[in-house]
Amino acid sequence: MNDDNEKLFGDKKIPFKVMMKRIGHYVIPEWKAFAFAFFLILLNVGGDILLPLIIKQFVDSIAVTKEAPIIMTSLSTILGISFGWLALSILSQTFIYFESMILQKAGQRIVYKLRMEVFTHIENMSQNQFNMMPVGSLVTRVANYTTSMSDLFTNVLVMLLRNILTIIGVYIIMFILSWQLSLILMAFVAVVFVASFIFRNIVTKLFRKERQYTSDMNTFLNENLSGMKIIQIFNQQKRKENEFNVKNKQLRNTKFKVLMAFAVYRPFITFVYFSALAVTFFVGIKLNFTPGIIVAFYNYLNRFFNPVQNIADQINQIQKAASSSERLFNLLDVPPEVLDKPNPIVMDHFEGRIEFKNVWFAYEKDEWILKDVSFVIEPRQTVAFVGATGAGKTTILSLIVRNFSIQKGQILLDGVDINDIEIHSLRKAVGQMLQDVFLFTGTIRNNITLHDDEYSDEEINKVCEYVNADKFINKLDNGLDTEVLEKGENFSQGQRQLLSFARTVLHKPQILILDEATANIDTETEKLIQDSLEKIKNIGTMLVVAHRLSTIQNADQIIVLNKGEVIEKGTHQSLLRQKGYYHKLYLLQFKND
Amino acid sequence: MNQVLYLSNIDSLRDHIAYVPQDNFLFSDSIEHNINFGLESGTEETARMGAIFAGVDDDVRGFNKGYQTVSGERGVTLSGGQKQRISIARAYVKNAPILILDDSVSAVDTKTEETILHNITNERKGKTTLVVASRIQQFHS
Repeated sequence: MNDDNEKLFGDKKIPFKVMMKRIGHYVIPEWKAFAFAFFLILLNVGGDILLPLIIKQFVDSIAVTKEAPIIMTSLSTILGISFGWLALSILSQTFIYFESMILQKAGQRIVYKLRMEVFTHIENMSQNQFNMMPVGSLVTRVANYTTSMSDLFTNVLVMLLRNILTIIGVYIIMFILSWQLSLILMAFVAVVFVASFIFRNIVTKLFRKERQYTSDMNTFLNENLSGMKIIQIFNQQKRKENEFNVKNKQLRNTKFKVLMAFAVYRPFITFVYFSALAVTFFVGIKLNFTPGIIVAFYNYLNRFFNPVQNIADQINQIQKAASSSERLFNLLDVPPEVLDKPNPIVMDHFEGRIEFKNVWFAYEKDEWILKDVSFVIEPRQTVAFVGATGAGKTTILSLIVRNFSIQKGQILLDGVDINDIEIHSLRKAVGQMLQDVFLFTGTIRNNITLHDDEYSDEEINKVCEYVNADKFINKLDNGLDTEVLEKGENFSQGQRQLLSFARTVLHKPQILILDEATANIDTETEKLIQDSLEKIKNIGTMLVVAHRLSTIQNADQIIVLNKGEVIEKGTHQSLLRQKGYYHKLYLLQFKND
Repeated sequence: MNQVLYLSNIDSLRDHIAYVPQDNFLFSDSIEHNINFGLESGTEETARMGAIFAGVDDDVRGFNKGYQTVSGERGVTLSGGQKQRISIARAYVKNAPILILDDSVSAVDTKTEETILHNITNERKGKTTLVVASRIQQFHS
């Protein structure tokens, strides 16, 4: 569990080897694209390396005497060299075009797949897992980290490959031109590599911090922007400013350190490059090189040092992508707490018999919310759950659709353990109408059908009429096509309730779950809702967290809960006769109704 | 208090009012810090005082980590009624001359509701408390 938590927050370290293997898993299906691009890179690099040789040829052919730089070769040779140069350049750039097109597309395909995978994975996580994970951090992971990984495939790997090939190729040619000078230059290469290595280590750590702080800041913003109302009411802007300032500073300071590292590293490499040039000129003259060879070396050194310097950058980008991948893979590695068993039972129809057998449940270890809860609900019964806040009413209802997994006991639907039932078929059969109705941005129609196009307008209208939602929908200018604002803000809570009823009834559930809303509903809408519920309860088995006396009185069975335990069961009348907890509750709560 | 509150300074106006909104937003922080949100420096004692007023002290002490329990991003590990009562505790602890409860006991059962209303009558003597209520019986006290 702790291990999973670490993964959930994305902090678990994944060994580099394992990571490469997993990234390989995405690259391998695209191997043809990568192989072809590799081939093109090879050609491109080859062309690139040959260009200085042409310059060498050219320089050696024009300056052979000390008296004057007389052109000794014929016009045709010069033309040949010029056209050779041009042709090679064009060819080389054409290769770059094809290679980058092929690779970018392959990269985008990989990232597309990855984003999909992450989103699907998140969708399957249990509510418990969601509660532990800040939304801000999830958004960062789906949006930014996948992009950072895409950079890896589309830019970084290609550049790295090109650079490595260039370094090897250039060195081989330099070695052929003068093995002595090449060996001396080896010393400079060693210095650059060591410097790059140190630099890489420092920057890797900084980048990891940077990502962490960025994610922290996003989480902070997300929470505090949602809670701005409370902050303002309590006049705590200053405190929050200070808290934000701490995070802001952390991020700035880390950025400063990154800048510093780069600011020292780059000039140092340039200095080494100029030193190497000085040595080349000195040694070249000592060893009596032709001018062409010196010019060629001058060119090659440039082609050599640039890639060496870039490699450090690219290794950093790879590190950045690696730490992004690490957090992504971490997320993908969190097993959804609620999963289908292998070969789950697919049920197309439920009679609607529900049984809780000694169910124990806790959101957090040992803080039992439900203690040894047992009850049986017969098909088509309406059952009211009654009890004080925190008694576990809402929890019981969310367990039936497996939003959470229970720790002990068994929940049976039509005699089958719900853990054996395919989650999809289970949730399809259960219609949930929650206290807090969530409406999506879109139209009323989409909110009722949930984008399922198989329903005709006639069906939708019939359902709206059935649940009394037609009255207010028909008053709207655009009817079913009225736009719903974010979180359904343009509808009253009562209207939202009615829409959720319509949504539920349309999908023809066999079991209905209702968490009755308690507040903020005007009397007129309240009547519509009650009237609607009277009808809805005939659809199938209905479980209600009840707050209204009428709902409770009309229930076939009332289950009274206290602190996670079932303390009384029966009908309204029989429970009143018992003169127990329910009786007291009734006197307190409904004496005035 | 027979003073006219001028709206010219929002900060000082807000300093005089404690408010419990309909939706209960809690920060992902310990319950202690959430209750002490409006205070310069709060302790577990001040937090408990608020919790007792809001009738949520028993609940909180029932948690393994008590007042150090961290509520989820939006206080999700707590039930609706618990969040609501912590929100009331947060407003109470601020000890402002005016306390406004905007339909703030909707998710609280009647017994606890009575405790809270009882506490309001007793502990906020001499101070103004406005209660926006949806249930008639709330007005009886």
